[in-house]
Amino acid sequence: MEKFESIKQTLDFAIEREQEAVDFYTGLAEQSDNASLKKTLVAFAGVEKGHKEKLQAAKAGAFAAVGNVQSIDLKIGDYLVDVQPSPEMSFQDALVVAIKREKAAMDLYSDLAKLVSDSALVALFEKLSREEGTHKNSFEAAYEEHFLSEN
Amino acid sequence: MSTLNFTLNGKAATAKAGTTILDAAEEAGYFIPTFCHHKELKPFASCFVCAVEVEGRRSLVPSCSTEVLEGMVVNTENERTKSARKTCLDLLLSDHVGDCLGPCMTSCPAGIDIPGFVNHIAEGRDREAFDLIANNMPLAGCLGRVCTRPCETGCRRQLVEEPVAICQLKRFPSDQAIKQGWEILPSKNPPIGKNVAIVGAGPAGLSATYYLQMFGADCTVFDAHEAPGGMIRYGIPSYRLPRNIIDGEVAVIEKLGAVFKYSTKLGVDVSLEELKAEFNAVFLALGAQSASGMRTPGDDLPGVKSGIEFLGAVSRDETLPIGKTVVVVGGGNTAIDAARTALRLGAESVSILYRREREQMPAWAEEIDAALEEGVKLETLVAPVKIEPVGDGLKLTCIRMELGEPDASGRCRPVPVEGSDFSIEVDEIIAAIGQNVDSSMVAELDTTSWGSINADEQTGQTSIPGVFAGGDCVTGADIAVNAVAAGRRAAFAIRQYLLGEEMVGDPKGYNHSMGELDQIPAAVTQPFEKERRIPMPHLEAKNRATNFEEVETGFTEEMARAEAARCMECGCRDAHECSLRDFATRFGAKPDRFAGNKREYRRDDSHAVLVYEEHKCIQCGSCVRACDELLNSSCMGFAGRGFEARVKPALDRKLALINSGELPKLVEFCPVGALTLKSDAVATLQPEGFLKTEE
Ligand SMILES: Cc1cc2nc3c(=O)[nH]c(=O)nc-3n(C[C@H](O)[C@H](O)[C@H](O)COP(=O)(O)OP(=O)(O)OC[C@H]3O[C@@H](n4cnc5c(N)ncnc54)[C@H](O)[C@@H]3O)c2cc1C
Ligand code: SF4
Ligand code: SF4
Ligand code: SF4
Repeated sequence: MEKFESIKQTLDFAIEREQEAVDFYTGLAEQSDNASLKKTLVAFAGVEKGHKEKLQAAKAGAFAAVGNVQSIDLKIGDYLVDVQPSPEMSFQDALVVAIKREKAAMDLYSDLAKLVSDSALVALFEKLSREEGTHKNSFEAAYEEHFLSEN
Repeated sequence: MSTLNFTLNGKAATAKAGTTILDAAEEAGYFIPTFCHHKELKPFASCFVCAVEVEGRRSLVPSCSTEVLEGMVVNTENERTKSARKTCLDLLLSDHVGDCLGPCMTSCPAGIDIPGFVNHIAEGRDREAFDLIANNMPLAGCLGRVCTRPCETGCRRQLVEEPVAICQLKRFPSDQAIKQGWEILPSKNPPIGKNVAIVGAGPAGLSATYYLQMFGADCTVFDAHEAPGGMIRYGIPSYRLPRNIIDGEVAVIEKLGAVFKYSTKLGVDVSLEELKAEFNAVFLALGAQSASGMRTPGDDLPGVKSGIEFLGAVSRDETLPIGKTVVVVGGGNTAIDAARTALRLGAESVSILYRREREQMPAWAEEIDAALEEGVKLETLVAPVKIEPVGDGLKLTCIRMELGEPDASGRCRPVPVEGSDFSIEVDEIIAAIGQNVDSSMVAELDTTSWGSINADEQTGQTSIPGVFAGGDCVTGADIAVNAVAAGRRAAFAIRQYLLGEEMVGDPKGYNHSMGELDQIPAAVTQPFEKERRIPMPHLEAKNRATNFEEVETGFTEEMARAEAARCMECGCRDAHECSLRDFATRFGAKPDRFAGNKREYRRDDSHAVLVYEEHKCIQCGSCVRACDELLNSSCMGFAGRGFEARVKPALDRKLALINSGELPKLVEFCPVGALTLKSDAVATLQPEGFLKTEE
């Protein structure tokens, strides 16, 4: 795992991923003609931007805030079918996309934590995984509120 | 008599010498509130709400007893006087004990005068009951059957035993209307020469149309469906709400002159742009028509459908074929309706799968019981995870759930138990897990992320002037009575918009309340004996589970009268005349600004015609002075001093023991609801409704 030799490198990688997410949602929003979906996607981009800023702050020394919240994992995403992101998708699908993306990131960091040996890095990946899990859980909570209201 | 020149609210004014500021200001068209001032009595200057500012005087002066002087500069409307009035009212309200409106009425989203109509029923005035309900509720027969009864949760009678069966009583006059063949035609204002497009003929759209027609507007209602009712026709099954009831109530709206265009879809057959060009205003009442998908693998297989798709199809054809084993996923009204409907179509086994526990099911407890009685099975803490085709049927894989730690809102969320998967074979799966709003055809409007239209709560005004919205399309899937109430508020606002008035909807006046159930003094319920709530007669489970006959058969006349007689007539006999309530509304007074002890609840109804409720007395002294100055009697008097002061019958006697034929006259002097006549029953005091139906 040469790529992840230092904390700084690792954080840079994570920051880049958040930026990718910002670009992903912003791009979809630009293509969408549906005003409410556009708004949702812009809001998602804003959330990802917030995540990125948190990691940038961590790089500057404000570490404590990352991965410190333990939230309930509803595991809703585990049982949802994959959705092809599109500028015409419904709000429900947009949430599925967001849940799946956060879940993928959560799983990735948790896998990376198993691959590195430096204990500081293991701890960092675990923190990052927990952080992404929190993001996923908050999307799942929104999904539950709006789409499983009678379930 | 000489004429004096003075300045009133910055303008030159004149008054005859000896005129009080109060009279001079009234003469000039200004309103000054007062409780203790009475034309027939000498000025008393005790209540101080009439205080005004006279330049050069340090304190405000009571306008009822201060005469105008030459050159005086008086302000009756500035911030200082207004704030003093409000303080005065806040203080009076701080220890006041009473309910302006019955708690049932304030819990009813549509604001129906419940004590009023229930009293009419109790005393056999069914037609009056019908009219009173119709003031606030155009779909009484429908809602009398399906309303989830928020009013009953507020009903005081439950402090004695159980709430009054308000909702079922609301159905009774509409049953009488059919039985007696009453001709129902609400009165209409003259035409205002404006037209309104209503999109959606569900409860919200129908309600708005009803009121707008009465206000003199010309409505055209567009609906994608082939018949009116929205979810109360295409969701709620006919065994709960027979279709002739919907048709009958819509016929009244047609008679009022509304034009209905069915099978016409906004976004397909007509656009918002076109409606805006053709009509003076548009009301969108689109409902929450799209079902949440399960998004589990296999949810698109034939044999899997949504609850509303299923119920809509059955609504059109009650002989639809159905599989032998049916599984319904979800725990709301839609799930229960779908399950009970599946039984009626002939399914042999119907199970409901729900992710949480029974107590958390959003469906109505009585409906769940009715479904279980009919043979529907309920499996809780189970969620579907996969659907696969097998032979002619489907294999449904589920996982068991457990309730996790409570989240921030205190609700326990279900979490899957790893490795607890199991499969069952079924013929049909009905997913009833939630509905949302599809507003994509009105993309120019501001919406929430999940598609609900953003609209002002009081007026229904959306982000585009002249376009209003209400009901489920604004709130997300909700209950019918809220949709009816939203339609009514929007109709008021649309009328104001069309006439160029300020848009306020249908604002509510100040309401004083004795508080929540646990704050009610025992003396309130003490005079009432326990009486059993009359249960709604219904078909036995075995006789109903295989057909679409109406399950609840309605109260007989005898039952309705007996049930109505249980009502304790909460609410104040003076609510529509009371000066305290009127001023509190005008000046935005609040009862909780000054904390302190409340007055003691003391009600004396021993007298044949009069009731004295001391807890509502504001000690203005008018009745005491009227006894003294006009009636030459001493029946009412002051006792105690300062905060302990009370106004009560002389010698602390019961009113019945006061032998004075003049006593009832005192009611005219009481500015609030402390002294009232028994004959002014809560019901008969209703102000003339703006709709009087014609026979
Ligand atoms: C199965 C089920 C059971 C229910 N049971 C109860 C109950 O027991 N008690 C209760 O109080 N509530 C119940 N509800 C909820 C209640 O029916 C709704 O809250 C209520 O009908 C909402 O009224 P609405 O007018 O806002 O919308 P809707 O009733 O949904 O009406 C909207 C109308 O707009 C039309 N429309 C939508 N889009 C367009 C378009 N683009 N162009 C033209 N027309 C359009 C639709 O065809 C529909 O007729 C139930 C709902 C369901 C689904
Ligand atoms: S006396 Fe007036 S303020 Fe008091 S409860 Fe009656 S109506 Fe309301
Ligand atoms: S007892 Fe009658 S007036 Fe009082 S809350 Fe109940 S229904 Fe309303
Ligand atoms: S009971 Fe008498 S003193 Fe009390 S508010 Fe009424 S008129 Fe005034």
